[in-house]
Amino acid sequence: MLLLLLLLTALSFSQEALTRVGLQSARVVLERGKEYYLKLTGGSKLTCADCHGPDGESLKGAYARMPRFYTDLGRVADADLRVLSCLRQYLRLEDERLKSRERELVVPLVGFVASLSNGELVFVELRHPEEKRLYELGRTVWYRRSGATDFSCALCHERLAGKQFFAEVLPAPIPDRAPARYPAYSVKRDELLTLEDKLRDCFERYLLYDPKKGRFSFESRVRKPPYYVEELIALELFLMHSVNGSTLSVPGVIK
Amino acid sequence: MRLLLLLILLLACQPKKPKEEYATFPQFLKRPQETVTPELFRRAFFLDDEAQKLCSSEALTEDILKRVKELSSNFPKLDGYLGDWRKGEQLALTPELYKRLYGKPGGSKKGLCYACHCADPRVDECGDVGPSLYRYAEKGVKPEELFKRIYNPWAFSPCSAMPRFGHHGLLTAEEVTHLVAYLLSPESPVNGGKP
Repeated sequence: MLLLLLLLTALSFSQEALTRVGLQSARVVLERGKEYYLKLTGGSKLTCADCHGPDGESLKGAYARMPRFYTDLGRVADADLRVLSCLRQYLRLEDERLKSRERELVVPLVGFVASLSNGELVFVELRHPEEKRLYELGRTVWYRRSGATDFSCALCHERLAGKQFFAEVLPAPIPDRAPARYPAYSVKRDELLTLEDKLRDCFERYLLYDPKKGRFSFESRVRKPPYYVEELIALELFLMHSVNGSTLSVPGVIK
Repeated sequence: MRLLLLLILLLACQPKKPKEEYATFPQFLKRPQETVTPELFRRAFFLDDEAQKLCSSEALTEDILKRVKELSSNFPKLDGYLGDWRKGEQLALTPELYKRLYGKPGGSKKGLCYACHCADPRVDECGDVGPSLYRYAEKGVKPEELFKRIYNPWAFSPCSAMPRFGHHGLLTAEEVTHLVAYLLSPESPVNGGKP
């Protein structure tokens, strides 16, 4: 009887309790990120810590400025692409090892690096011509109506924000400063999601179309944009720039 | 028994173990690799649809709205525009809503009407993005016009939030006639009928 009671209390999570549980699980992922940061090595025998210091001191504030142009990459990168490129170029992780586990390594590392900037203000600049170009592209993506439903990010999260969709209120991520809380932990999926992961999910649910079929099909369609594709990073740049000045607070907790 | 339950509980509450760095998984357990190329993604996202492109503009000028209206004037010619309201109800209600109303499986995710509209007064989980459709029949809209409004809403309110169900093939022309009946038939619960 006592056990049953215990089980019932455990199941009847309040939102607050859920957040606490979510944060707890998110911290486990961040811890793993720190472990990779200190120990992961590849062909160069270097670890992240060898270049950035054992506590990541030199990375403090870095996440608050991403996405941005990186000279060594020759393109604008978000945190995901920045971390992956480091694993490839500087740690020299073998392709074979990265192939199937890329996200398993990148996501915790992004979480750890982002947490080093907690409390800093988001400050994404548009100085390099590429940053300016991607900002405009991101703006285009935000307003572009697409797919079989003719939806756009802006349609639901700007024009109709605050309206009710079934029993849910459509959120307004820019005024709510939501991008400053990513990477965020999804309680439903029991996973840490980077901003890029989250945006890819939106594309899957609302914005894509099957160009091969010519018409919308419920079964087969282009599901998500490929990782690190320019349009996705542009959208991140547009969103982060839109919340410039907000305090970075990660990991956030989402449904 | 209690001990067993406790054991299960304990096992279930263990934190998820991080996967070993060198762990290898059997090939068949891996999710299929995504093969969407950037080119394919771009074609799927920046759809070659003039009306859609025009409606993506930040400032929707009168000229844009007029042009979108012009582009939205293709409709199939049918013998009748009033289908079967019961089939329409199946398309309008999600499986969850259907189960709640009738206690049996039914409904579909094809119409998703209640995401944005209220209509059947028994459904309270309905959106307010679009107007309420309760007692829609009293508005005196002709079946053919209503068919067009669902098939391609941009013919009437260009760049509106409502998907162009017929234009994109989300619903067939026949399915649209069923929704027309769901909104116009006096027996439909939308108009106060008792199902």
